[in-house]
Amino acid sequence: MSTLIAPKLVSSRDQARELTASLPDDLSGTVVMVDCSALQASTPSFVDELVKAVLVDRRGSRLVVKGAPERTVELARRAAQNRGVTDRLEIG
Amino acid sequence: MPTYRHALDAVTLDDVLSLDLDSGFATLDLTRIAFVDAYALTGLACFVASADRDGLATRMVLPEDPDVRSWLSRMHLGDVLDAFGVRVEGELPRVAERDRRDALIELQRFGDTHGSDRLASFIWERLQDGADGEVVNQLFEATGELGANVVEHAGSPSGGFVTAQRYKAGAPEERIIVAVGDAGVGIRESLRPRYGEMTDDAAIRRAVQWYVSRVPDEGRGQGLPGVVEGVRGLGGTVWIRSGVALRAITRGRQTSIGVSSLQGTIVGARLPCRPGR
Repeated sequence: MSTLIAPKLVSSRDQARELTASLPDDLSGTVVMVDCSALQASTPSFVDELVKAVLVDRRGSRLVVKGAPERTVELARRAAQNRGVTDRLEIG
Repeated sequence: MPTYRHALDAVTLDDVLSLDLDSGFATLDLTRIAFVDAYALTGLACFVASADRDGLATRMVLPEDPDVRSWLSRMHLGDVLDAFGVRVEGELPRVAERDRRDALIELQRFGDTHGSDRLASFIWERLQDGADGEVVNQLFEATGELGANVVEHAGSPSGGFVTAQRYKAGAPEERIIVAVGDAGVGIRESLRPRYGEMTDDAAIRRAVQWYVSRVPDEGRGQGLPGVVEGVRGLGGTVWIRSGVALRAITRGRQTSIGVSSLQGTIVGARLPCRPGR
């Protein structure tokens, strides 16, 4: 499992790309957990780019969003639905 | 003693703007202005940047009202006027800046997503004690999304501008206005390659629909509609101005207003600080 820690405030797609930049290009068979316990606010663009970077571009087996605010969870579910990857998104 | 009655906001902004293309001058005449809101201040900066882009010399006549001059100075309008070489008639006074840090986000310029990210966080930190959490989070989302739109889609050589202010502190009608603007290509031109020719007003109507974006990617096109939905849901108003169109959007209705042409886009949101109370 790879773990990423989300900062307190996240907004742009670039921030999501920077957060996931250290991950390998191929995440097949790998679970990625994003620890959102410090997160206070996020935007739809950031969350969509996070889902895209992990589950679409790198084909991660699962993305676990842990300890996120309700709004971020809502955005993650929407992004996963838009991109057809709801079966690989887990809310922790 | 003279009285000043004219308030400058999203709808009245046009009243102070004039262009003389024959002589190559843009004029912003604030002489009789009694109040400038955060949307209008962002708009003034966008017009200055737009005139500069068009190669026009710009002249600004400052308000006669000393309180309005002080506010413009406190909001750092002078930095923008200096940056674009605007000829100013009148003088902006020096004012103390230690007060009202929780109510004012001075006019600021950004050129990349690091800049718009920083401003969105700055607004969240500065205003978090002055409004309900859902309102501050919505302001964060709005500033972040609109700032990213400027950087990614506007093609604005001068970058973007942000201003915010909290009004009527402690009163039931306490509210916040935040505005993000640019002197870029405008919404119509941004959408044209993918959606074809349309009017400025049609482009705005299209841009507030979900998943409409110049970028053909299934997760795109959530920024502006998300701002509109979030602000309306909290009982607020969104103004979107681009080209020759201005659209005001509230919970129950949308209003279209014809305006003079702006090269670029200005989007503003007004939110009650404590909705439902």
